[in-house]
Amino acid sequence: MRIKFDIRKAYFAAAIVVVALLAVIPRTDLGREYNAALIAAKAGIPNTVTAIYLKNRLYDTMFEVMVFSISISGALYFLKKENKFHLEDTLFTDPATIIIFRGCAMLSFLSACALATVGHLSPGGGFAAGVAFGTSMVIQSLISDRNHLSNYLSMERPERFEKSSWMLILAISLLTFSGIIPSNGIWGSLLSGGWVPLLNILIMIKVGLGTWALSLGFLDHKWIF
Amino acid sequence: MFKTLLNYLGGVPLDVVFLARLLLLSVILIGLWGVLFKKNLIMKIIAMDIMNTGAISLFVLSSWYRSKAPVIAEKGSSIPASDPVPQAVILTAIVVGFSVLALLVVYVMDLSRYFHTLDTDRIQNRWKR
Repeated sequence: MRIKFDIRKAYFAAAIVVVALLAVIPRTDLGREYNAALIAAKAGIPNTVTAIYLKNRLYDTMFEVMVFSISISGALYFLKKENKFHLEDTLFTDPATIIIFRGCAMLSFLSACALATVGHLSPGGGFAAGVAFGTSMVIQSLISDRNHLSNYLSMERPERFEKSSWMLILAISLLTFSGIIPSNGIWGSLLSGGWVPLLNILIMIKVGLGTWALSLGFLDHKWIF
Repeated sequence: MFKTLLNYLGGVPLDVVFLARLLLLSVILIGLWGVLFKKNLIMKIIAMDIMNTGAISLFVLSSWYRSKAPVIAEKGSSIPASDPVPQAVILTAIVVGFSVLALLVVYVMDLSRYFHTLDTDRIQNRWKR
């Protein structure tokens, strides 16, 4: 008699065992009192999450941003093989919808600016601001007169600006690694924390434009409609 | 009896955090079930994203402490707040998960254009020919 062996069921059984082990690991509250305060005092900015990913783990963040950039390049390469589909007819043309979408885009963009500029003083930061910025640009590209965006930004290749802002992030990271860091400044002021505010704004531009380029690639592709 | 058993298993009290951890681990298991046993490629991708969400939420839960954000009000104050290290670590996973999702969707689009199906068994049969 031959026992039917399915490797997928074996994987699932092993995963159940691992999850059961993870469920009974005790939870510790050690180190919670002084860990955050120590990190904040050393970095010079109140938001400790931003302090970790832009100061303690800047090397990690630099290559994370590179992974994002390369994956967007790959996705756009595969999307551009086919002819582009111009979907002027399927976009929203209703004036009420256009006004509401423009208002939502403005609110989203303003929240992105706020999250990026005070991201080192309050909860927020570059990545959250980038997602908000990308959302506002995608909302703008869903309405029918989206071509008026080309007065301000190049609609054709937003990934070009994205790559250049990644080069700026790389340059600032290399300056930091070679020891050229501005002083921390006054605790809680807008320009405190060395390169952190500038890096926040650059990461916002990079992530937002990358998201927008990817969404434009998917929106203009023939496969979806 | 049940409580003593739980204490024996590692001193985990039966509270909200433990129940939320069980919930998030079951979310990860549901995602893994979808990745392994679903036949449609789009469903596989959605299940992978569910798994990613469960893992991210598990990290955020592990850093949770009395719902206080890790933002220090004054310099040198030692008020207990959430642990900032797991949140900063999992930020990388969010961005990389988004990148992997975008690449997977594009690759599945190419596959479906070539094979005219999304079913994994049919794709496997046509691949062999």
